[in-house]
Amino acid sequence: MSFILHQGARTFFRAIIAPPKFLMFDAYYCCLMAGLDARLIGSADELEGEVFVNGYPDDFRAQAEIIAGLLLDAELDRKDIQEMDKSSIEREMVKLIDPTSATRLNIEGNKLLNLYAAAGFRMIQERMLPPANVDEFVVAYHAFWHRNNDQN
Amino acid sequence: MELRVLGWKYKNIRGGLGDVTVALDSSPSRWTLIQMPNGTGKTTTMLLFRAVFAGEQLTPDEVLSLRASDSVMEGQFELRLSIDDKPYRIQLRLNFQNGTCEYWTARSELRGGGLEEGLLLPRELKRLLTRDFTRLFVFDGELAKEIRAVGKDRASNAIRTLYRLDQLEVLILQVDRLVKEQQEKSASISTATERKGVTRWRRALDAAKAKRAELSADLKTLQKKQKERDSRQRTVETLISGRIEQDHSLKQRKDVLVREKQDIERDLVERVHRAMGIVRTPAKLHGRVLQRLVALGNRLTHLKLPKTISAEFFKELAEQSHCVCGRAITQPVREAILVRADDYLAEDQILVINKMKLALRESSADENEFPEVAEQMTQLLRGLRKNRTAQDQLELERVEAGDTELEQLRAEANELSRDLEEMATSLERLTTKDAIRQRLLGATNETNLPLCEAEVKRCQEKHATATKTLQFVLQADVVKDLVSTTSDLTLQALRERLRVATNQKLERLVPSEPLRVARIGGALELESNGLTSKTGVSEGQSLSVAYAFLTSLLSEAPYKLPFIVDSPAVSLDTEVRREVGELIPELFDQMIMFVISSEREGFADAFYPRKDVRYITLWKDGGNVAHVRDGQRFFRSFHSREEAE
Repeated sequence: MSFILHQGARTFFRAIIAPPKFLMFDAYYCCLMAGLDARLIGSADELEGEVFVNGYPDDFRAQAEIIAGLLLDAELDRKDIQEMDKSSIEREMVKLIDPTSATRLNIEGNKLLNLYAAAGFRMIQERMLPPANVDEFVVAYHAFWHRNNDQN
Repeated sequence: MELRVLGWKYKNIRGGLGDVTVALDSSPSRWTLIQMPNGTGKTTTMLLFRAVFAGEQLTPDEVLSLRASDSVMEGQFELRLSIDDKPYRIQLRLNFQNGTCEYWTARSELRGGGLEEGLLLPRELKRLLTRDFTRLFVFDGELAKEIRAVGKDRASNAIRTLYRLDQLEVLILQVDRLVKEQQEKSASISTATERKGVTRWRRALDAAKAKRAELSADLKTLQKKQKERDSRQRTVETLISGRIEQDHSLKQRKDVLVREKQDIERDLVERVHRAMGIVRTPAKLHGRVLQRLVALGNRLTHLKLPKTISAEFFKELAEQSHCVCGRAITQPVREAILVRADDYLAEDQILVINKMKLALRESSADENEFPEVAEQMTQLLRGLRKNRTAQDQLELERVEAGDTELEQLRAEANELSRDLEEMATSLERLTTKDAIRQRLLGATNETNLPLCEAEVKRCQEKHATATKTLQFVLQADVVKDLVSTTSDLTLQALRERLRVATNQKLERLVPSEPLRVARIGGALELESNGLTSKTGVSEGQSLSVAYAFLTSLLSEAPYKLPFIVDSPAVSLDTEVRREVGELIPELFDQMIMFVISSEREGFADAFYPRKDVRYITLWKDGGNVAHVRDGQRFFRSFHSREEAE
């Protein structure tokens, strides 16, 4: 499973990447959650040319099923698949799930995850200043979810 | 390899050491305590030991400073050693007339045991006994501080030298030399046109290597400057605090603010830890996420997804001649079944989706958790900003009251912050390996070390192709990478092993103080309570750390060396002295300790119950003539003149 950042993410989060307090994957994940929530995907052109990490870091392994579920949910919504359309839902599952992968996602699912994270990064970048420290980022990220999103 | 000191002899050496012999016998005691009052040449003896072991060429000034008196023209220090049970006699001959020195060696291998000019120790030992390394076992008190000094790399270099990792670097150089020879040989037999290509790439390679050396030097300079600015910044902060503390009322207000800041920062660390736990759990981010998760789980359950019929079922069915309903499965039907089978989940996919469904349905979270912690953090950050403003205000009040020095310090602090920020960017441009950051910072192989390294490699390959030695170079690179990785991994493993061993000894030496080594990088980095970097270390603590590290280093090494130490306990508390006196002796096969009478209490008396201890007292009489006397009784009862006074 190869995770790729948006081209601007590394610079945007530069000041707060300090493992184990805040991982590069935390930055990716925060963008991913924003993108999945908004049901928006970015384009492959926006991504960096290289993978920044393979597989989930320890702190995220327990969330593999949940993240896979959120991706499926976002895809069903984005493609406007009706709630009771059983065969389309199953087809989406077949398209995304790989039981042998630690993330439970196949290459297609992985690619989509990166695109959702790219779109999420754009949203974060539009509504936040590059964070100077983790404390301020956490507060701003909360506001991102609870102020901006609650108005949506 | 085992090295032991069998004795030494002084002739016309300062400190009244006109003609003095200290003989430890051919099988020296494990521990030798030599009591020498101040002024009888302890420091001189240590200096001579170090010089002889490392074969140092003393400067004329150093030679003359060893002179016993103006009336003597020559002097000598002779050291008797046993190296793997073979006797060696080394003389350092001093010529006080022209300020020169020379070494002579008598070895058992030499017929008749005559003296030969030069320091003729076994090659392996000679390579080990560098000037810096000798200071580890002919222990220098200054070293106790240096092994903790960042930038001096003393700890790391000691490990490299002792465990011969430097030999791996020599191996890399040898591989480089072989490659160069091969290329030269190849170039000499190529045609004129080919030679032109070889020359062109040779020049490009030389230029790239020169740039790499230049960038490495820039990096060192920049790191040094950064360290200086960083240190100055801390000094300026201390000076600013000092200015505030001159005003009693401001000091009181400042103390309150400092305490408040510490409290806020501690709370923030705890809150941010909690907050990251929340952020890393999708269901806790927002109620909407939780709702969606649960809804998807319920929807899958309601739709009876995943279906229990798997793709495998249809694939197996397609292999049959008849369906379960009895109808024949013809080729077109078989193909249709196989195509549609792919729309069904595989059995292992079903298992995973069931797991996912369960996780979705069971998702739960308190949706107020994130808002609550974020609100607490907002308040704390606000408090921190207020605190910063209030502290700033104190400084401004003092400036307004006419403290121009403080005003200057504040200006300097601002300038230092700016400088440090610029330096951080320059350092990143110079060192980043991250291709994206390299692009963003406009780094090229002229400004970035990793890119320059890549350029060197490219030129090497081109040059190698031109000289038709590419395969040879590639193989050499593989060998160098392997050697380099071996060296790095070994150093890493040794550092960790020594760190653990050092901490075990520190636990014994300073049980009341949670003083531990957090990391061995270039230097020993300390921690206290496992929380913060320990900077303010007392002399006694510093010595304890040095002993714990050195004894770990030397006792586990492939070489058995004596440990020679001057005033080992003078700066330690009596309690720690006792611990040092009990712990350290066990770790060496030979220890020679120069002590003064005040060190007997606590330290020397820890040896009295032991066997295999030799007690020697060396003192000067009123006529400035040195005497040596053996025996514990005399050692214990000896009173130096300083003591009597």
